[in-house]
Amino acid sequence: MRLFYILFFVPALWFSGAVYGAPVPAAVSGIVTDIRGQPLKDVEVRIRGREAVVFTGSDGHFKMDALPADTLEFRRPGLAVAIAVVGSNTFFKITMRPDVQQLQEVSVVSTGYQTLRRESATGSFEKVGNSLYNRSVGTDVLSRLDGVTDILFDRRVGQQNTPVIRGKSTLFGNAAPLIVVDNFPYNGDINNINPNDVESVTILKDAAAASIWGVRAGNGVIVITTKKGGRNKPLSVSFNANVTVAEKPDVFYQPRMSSADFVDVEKMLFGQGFYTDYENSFSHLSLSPVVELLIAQRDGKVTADAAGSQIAALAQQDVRKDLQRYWYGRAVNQQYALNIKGGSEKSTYLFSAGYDRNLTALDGGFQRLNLRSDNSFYLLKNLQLDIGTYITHSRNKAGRQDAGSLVSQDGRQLYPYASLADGGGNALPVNLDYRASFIESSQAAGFQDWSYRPLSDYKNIDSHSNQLDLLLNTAAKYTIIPGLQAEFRYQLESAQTQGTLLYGANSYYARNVINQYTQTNADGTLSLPVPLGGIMNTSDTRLLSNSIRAQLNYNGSWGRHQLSALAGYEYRNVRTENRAGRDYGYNADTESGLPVDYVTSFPLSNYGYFFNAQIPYQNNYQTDRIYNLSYFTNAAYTFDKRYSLSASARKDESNLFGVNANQKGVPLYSFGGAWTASNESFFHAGWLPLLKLRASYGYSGNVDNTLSAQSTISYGGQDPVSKQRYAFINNPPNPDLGWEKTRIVNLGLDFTLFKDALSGSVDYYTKKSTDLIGFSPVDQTTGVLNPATLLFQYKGNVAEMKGHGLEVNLHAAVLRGRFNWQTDLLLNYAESKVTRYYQSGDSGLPYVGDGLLVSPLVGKAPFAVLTYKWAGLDGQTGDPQGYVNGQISKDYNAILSGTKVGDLQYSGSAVPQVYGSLRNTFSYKHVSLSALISYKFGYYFLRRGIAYSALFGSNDTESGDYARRWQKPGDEQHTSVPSLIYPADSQRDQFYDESSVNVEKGDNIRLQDLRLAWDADRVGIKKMPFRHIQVFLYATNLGLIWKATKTTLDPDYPYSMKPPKTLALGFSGNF
Amino acid sequence: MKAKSLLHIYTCDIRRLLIMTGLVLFFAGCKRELDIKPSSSLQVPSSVADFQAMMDNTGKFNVLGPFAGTLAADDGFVTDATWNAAHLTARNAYIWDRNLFNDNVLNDWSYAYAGIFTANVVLEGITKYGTNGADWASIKGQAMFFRGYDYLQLAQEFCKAYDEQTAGSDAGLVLRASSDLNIKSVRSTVSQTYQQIISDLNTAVNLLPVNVITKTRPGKAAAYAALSRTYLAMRAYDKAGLYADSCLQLGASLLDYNQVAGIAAISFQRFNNEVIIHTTMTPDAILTGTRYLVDTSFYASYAPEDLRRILFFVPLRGSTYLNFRGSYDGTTSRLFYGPTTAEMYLVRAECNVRAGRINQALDDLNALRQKRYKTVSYQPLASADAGVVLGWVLTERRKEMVFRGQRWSDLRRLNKEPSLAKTLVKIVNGKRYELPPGDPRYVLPIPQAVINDTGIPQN
Repeated sequence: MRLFYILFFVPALWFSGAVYGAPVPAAVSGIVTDIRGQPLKDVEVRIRGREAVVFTGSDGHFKMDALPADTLEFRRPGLAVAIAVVGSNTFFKITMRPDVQQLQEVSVVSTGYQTLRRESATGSFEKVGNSLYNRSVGTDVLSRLDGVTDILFDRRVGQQNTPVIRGKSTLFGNAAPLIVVDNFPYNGDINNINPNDVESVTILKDAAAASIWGVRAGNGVIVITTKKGGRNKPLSVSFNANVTVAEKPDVFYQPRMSSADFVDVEKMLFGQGFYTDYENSFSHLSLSPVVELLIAQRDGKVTADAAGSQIAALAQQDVRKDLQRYWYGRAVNQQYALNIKGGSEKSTYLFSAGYDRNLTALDGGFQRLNLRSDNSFYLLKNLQLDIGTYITHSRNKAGRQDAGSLVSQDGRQLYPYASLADGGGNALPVNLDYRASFIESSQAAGFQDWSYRPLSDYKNIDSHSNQLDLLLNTAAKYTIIPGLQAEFRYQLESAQTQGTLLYGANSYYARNVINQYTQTNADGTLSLPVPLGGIMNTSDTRLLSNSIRAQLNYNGSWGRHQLSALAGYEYRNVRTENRAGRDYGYNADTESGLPVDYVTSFPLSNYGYFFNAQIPYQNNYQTDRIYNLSYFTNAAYTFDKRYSLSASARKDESNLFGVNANQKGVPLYSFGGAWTASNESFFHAGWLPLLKLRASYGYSGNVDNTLSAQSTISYGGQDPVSKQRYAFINNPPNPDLGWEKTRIVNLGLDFTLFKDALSGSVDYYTKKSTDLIGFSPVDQTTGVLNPATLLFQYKGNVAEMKGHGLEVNLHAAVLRGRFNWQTDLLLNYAESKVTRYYQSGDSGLPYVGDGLLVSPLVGKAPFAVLTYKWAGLDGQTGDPQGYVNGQISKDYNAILSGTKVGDLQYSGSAVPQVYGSLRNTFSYKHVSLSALISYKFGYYFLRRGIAYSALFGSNDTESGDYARRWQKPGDEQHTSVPSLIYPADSQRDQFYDESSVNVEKGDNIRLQDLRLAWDADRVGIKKMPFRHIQVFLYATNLGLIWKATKTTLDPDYPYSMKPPKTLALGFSGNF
Repeated sequence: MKAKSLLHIYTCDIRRLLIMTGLVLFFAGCKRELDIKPSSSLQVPSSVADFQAMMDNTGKFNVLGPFAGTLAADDGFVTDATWNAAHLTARNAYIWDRNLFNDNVLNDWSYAYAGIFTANVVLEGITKYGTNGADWASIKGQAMFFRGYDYLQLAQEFCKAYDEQTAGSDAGLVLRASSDLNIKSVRSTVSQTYQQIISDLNTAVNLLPVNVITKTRPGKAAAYAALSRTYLAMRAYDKAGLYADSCLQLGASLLDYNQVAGIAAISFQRFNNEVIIHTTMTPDAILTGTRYLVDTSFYASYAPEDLRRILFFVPLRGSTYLNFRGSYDGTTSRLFYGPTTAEMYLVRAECNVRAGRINQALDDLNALRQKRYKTVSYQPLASADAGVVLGWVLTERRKEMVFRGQRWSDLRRLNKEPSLAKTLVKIVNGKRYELPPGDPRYVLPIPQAVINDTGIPQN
């Protein structure tokens, strides 16, 4: 009878509503319990297709009115939905079971070698399930982990948004965590992966979790598990689409010197004769419009009044207004994805497609198409075959250059009162490289137009790259006897990136190169060593990687014993070929270039033919090969679901260049143990259903294949003077070169309290990294000049580092029921300091800095903010004062080169030591609102101070200090900005810029994002074609709630523009 | 039946054997791959070509010679505006301030030692891989030459002027005989420093070929010329003259300035016939283009019929001062300081006149002057007074070798002779600076970072 109702009435209701006249509702009641028979409160009881909802009381009982044809639905988070048809029943006894699907999501973690049940795991894992992963929107796979995991994203200039797991483990080695997609490390560009293909992400944090990845696990491991079809699952189609719009970037965010102030400085410099050299220069170096007016006035070409009024007008202009109006636009990102999956007894299938289309704020574009298929075949009873293919095609097109790169050939920045466009928005030329008079006379002599219009020039440049990445993944699993499985995997990855950078014939770049090499013959005619036309740069990068893994897995249990073990062998090679080339005189229509004379040194016209240069030859070939061999084993034993022990060992070998054979390989291992106290028979705390203690110890490593134990050279092409092939030394010999090692000890606690109302984990760890690769500053007299950094240093295993930290993850279900409120709190404390570093002298100079780069000083954080001690301004002159031998001094040379390491001011780390987030999610009926507040504490940054030498020499206006400078005695009471002096003293500037007075605290709390979603399923809304649909709004970068610094700067973006606010609208569903 | 199962076992074994063999071969292959170099751009130098390529790196040996001595000397001058805009080391070198080389780790000291390091790596490589062939000998000669040549340049800035009486105790250079960076830097004595220079250059003389394919590489003549310069700096005039003579025996051609057009922005070609080895100074902004000037009084010391007047100098736009355009680098951005045949004529002449061989001195002097003056108005000099002829030779040296990086060394040695000593005077921003003969500031300070790192005594 009940079956009849389900088969008949449910579809009937769906199609026609109540067609049976008007039966009378009757009162029904019941009790809802869990599988142990305990009453469940706050269970939502709803009649399918109607709005009526009641909740169970604390005794698990409910009562409502219903028709015999009604179907009751029972919902509670974490439990599977239960259904009952009313029929003739008036009392219901409902048992709700855990939601297997949901349970699986949280209780199984993948290491890339195996999936582990979390309850027996001894290591520290963090898992981001599908719904949390899809909480945010973005083109790439990693940024979605920001704020919802313990990973810290280092966004500071030069750090390229590197994900940092548990603080830094390396100083100068590769600091990025290993990223594993399904089973193998991903060698291509991780941005190729479509986030919509991701099912879940597991972060392996301690040695027990990560040691299986051996020498690549030193920075932690992020395992991305992609979506798969399921056996015996019906066809399921899901899709999603979203669009994200960003505000225009705020060009006024960074404080800058005003145009009026800059004009004053130019007038002063002009009076000092500063520009005479430029005027007389054979290089015809540009002079700003104000200086040109001052020259014209001096030479009597304009009247003082006319010059004065024009200069006054220029002083009112601000190039940032043009940048805001014309240069930057709104970034718009679109994302579409479709996913079809299912499976039968004999096979599973998945097919997905994704398409992304982004428009950047600089009018560039990115498009990506992902196609993926993943199939499993259960051919024999014992044999499973998996075949997956992943195809990514992307196209990246560059737009305008960053406005900060508007810099002349001799390194001077664009003057702050430049006009980029006229009133009608038409691009105007600017005096960046050459004087206007020189441009005019050259053009009259038959040269190409030499003027530069930054606003429109990018349209003459075609800069794009196409990438095709193919990934083939195969696996065969054969069950030899129950519990024992042999597994063989092979992955082939082939990626090709073709880059094109065509400076069109009308681009400034091409015109400039052609003009520079143009020769004026004795009879006044011109000859052009660089032919007319475009300049075409091409690059081609090909990556080919093979990975093979053979592995034996055992999973078995007898009695109260449970054992899982694996052992295997892995081979991986990665070959990367780079080719780059250039053609001159390029004609885009016929796709042809012209030959040029690369050998002759031509006198350059822009240097008055006083300086010779060869036409740049830019053909380059390089092939890199990495080979890795690894042997690994891992075993975990659990007794009676109470005690677990695990151990892993791995040996890695790599083709580290020239290293003694025994150092090519390094064995790494880990041990772990766990005790699930709540499963003990004596444990009877009903309010504490789960209590588990974990401990682990072990090693992981890091390898740098670019290093060599022998002295190596690189060939640098043709020497410009000797015209012979020349070579330079890369590194001095280093026979003791080895791999970096990190030891992690982890203590963890997992718990659940008060019927799941509060759950979470606490981990405490210590890290010790040894044999770290570092740059040792060496005495200049050794002559060991690093060709990459142009500093006297050598790179070797010179450092050690120690760290410890605490990770607290809490989840609270504050309110359950019709109004649902959940809170997730992440708290991280991570501190690390250098404990050993090769230090050649006690001079503080090499270590002073803003902490953007590693400044490895023993006892200090790796990214340390170290400055000179500040003794205030001299009340008479406004000179900055520091200390020499404890005495207040203005001998800047003595301060800079004489201050000892111990006399520097150490403020602290430049990277947050305490960070985390608070995520609150509220839901009421179909609507949910989630807000992510993130916080960072315990770090510092160095404010950008004025450097008069850079202001004079390179128009550096990127400091807001000038207006606050010391001008008269007494000013030192309220300012710390030194007085302007001429000539500038670069050491005085350097001392001030790197003194403790400019250190600011970074601590801040920000509203990172807000998400508003409306969820509905077929039950809630009639006549909906989807099984489930969600429409959402998602806003990011909403701003700071609190910050410690009194400056206007956002501590996370002290030197760059801050990311604009974005708003996304999206919908997803399945049917 | 039995046979079949035997066959079955047999085929199984064959299969297993094949699989096992395959696996072993595969593993063995993988093992071998661990010896493949990780990047095509890396090379362990081992062949003649590798070491020659290292020696042909002009950025290490030829084009970043010391420049502070030239700024400190009296070849040219800079305007206040140029001085004010210059960087710290350039400014301070000009006025003999002690704060030098501290604003940049790439400086006169470190560039020279970077060259010495490369030379040492090459010398060690030759010991390891070299054979007795002439090509290996040449490379060893080149490395020895540049090590000696770099020490010679360094000694002119960082050591006291050579004095036979005190050379055994005066602080010399750090002599680095190995590329091993763990060997601590210590200062030798001036005597040891010059012995090292002479020893390196003598070894080079024996190993270097007479002819070179590019003038950035030293030949035998370059080693003789460097030895001649070394003995000149030591005021060992007999030997300086002998080595200048040995050098000229291998080639004594001079450019006839009457044949040089003198209309281009730059008067001379790089690698011209007078160049013995091509070396240029670090192209510091203050020494380039329009900044480093010659005043009218020095300009006036060139006779009107002296072709160097127009080939060396060009009037600065809008000024009475003059720019130098006579660098044998063939550019205005880099000052040439390598030895030339003309310099060797002058050294031989100076040494001959100092030894009383007046006529031989006049022969060399006139041979050079003939190529420098307009042919129509050329008059040979004649005198029997050694003092007069020495004066002529030194004046000719000053005029011929202006902006050639040798003036600082000349001042240091000539100041030892009271009759030739000179007090330098410079005025910057209205302030007068003086450098009397024998002043301690004739020895430039070693970069402070080096002192901090090594603890060696500062000058």
